[in-house]
Amino acid sequence: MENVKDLLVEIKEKSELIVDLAYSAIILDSEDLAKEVEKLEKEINELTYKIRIVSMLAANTPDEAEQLAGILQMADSSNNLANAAADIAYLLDLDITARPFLPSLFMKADEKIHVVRVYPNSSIVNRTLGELNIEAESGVRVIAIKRGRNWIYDPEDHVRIKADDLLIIRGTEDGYEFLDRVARGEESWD
Amino acid sequence: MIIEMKNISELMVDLAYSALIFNNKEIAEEVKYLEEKIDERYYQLEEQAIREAIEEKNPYPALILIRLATSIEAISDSAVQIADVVLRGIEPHPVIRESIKESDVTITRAKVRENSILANKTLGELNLASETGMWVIAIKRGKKWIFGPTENTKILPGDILLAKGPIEGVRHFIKLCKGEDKKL
Repeated sequence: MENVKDLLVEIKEKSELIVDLAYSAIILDSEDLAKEVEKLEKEINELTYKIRIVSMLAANTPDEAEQLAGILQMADSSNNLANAAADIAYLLDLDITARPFLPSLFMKADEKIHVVRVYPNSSIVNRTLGELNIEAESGVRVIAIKRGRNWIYDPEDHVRIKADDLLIIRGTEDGYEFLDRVARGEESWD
Repeated sequence: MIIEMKNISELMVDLAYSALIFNNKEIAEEVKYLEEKIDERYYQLEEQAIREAIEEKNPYPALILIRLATSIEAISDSAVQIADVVLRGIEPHPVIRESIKESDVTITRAKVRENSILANKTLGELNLASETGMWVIAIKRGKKWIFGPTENTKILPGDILLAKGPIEGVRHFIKLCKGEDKKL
């Protein structure tokens, strides 16, 4: 069952990421992010399928089958969640003149999405996300990085921040303001 | 209203995973209750959006709002579906709990001791989410629950806090609750 656990971790993490990226796509009016959402949706569909097969193979008794039904249900729910999130990003397919107010809709949400530009003189340049431990230290989560024309989605701990990176973050207002000052080099991270 | 729907739907997903990880029916019931709140808001928003579309003679804002609300409603349905696993009365398979524990955003709980620096302060005063990365999503006080506490909610000694956040933040959070760590 080790395998199912890894698949469940992956589907949970991806289904949470897709929601964040979907809102980010409309808030930042970004087709790139919308495309990533579409890709993630397919990956999650694929994962759901894998979980179904692995779970069905694991059932030996009616009791086991009942417990495994719970796993199927969780995978299925994550899949539904991903499809719903993807529909949010698909709003960008509407003609641009039809959606001028879309980016501003979520200005007052509890956890807001922001973009932070990293200046060359910032104390976080050349440090990894793991070293900085950004989420536990500041309450904001880096959900994507735009580097030149490339994107890094859901960056891992070993990813090193570079000058001129754009960090797409989600979290508290205080955390955002702090990180923004640090990224501008106005304050030190440490 | 759409923001409120978004906030509720996110709380629902967090609570649904909490219900699973702690195999807790009360939390699962709350998810179902919040679903009703989402539905109410959905119908209100739909009506209001259509009214405005007719008045302004412009269908697009209404179209976008209704589509967004539909997606948010579907997200909240998924949360109910997750919580429903618990309501069936069968202990969730252990790998479900392990998978939630090991994912990069996890859920934990801890009891607030008398000598904890969190005791007798509001969540707003503590600024816990910014300081530790951990969001308190529910509080169990005696037999009662406070779901989705706000900035004005005061933490009392004896409270059991349910929090969501990065794995790296969990240990610090538990030590703060226990009073072993005195600095945020």
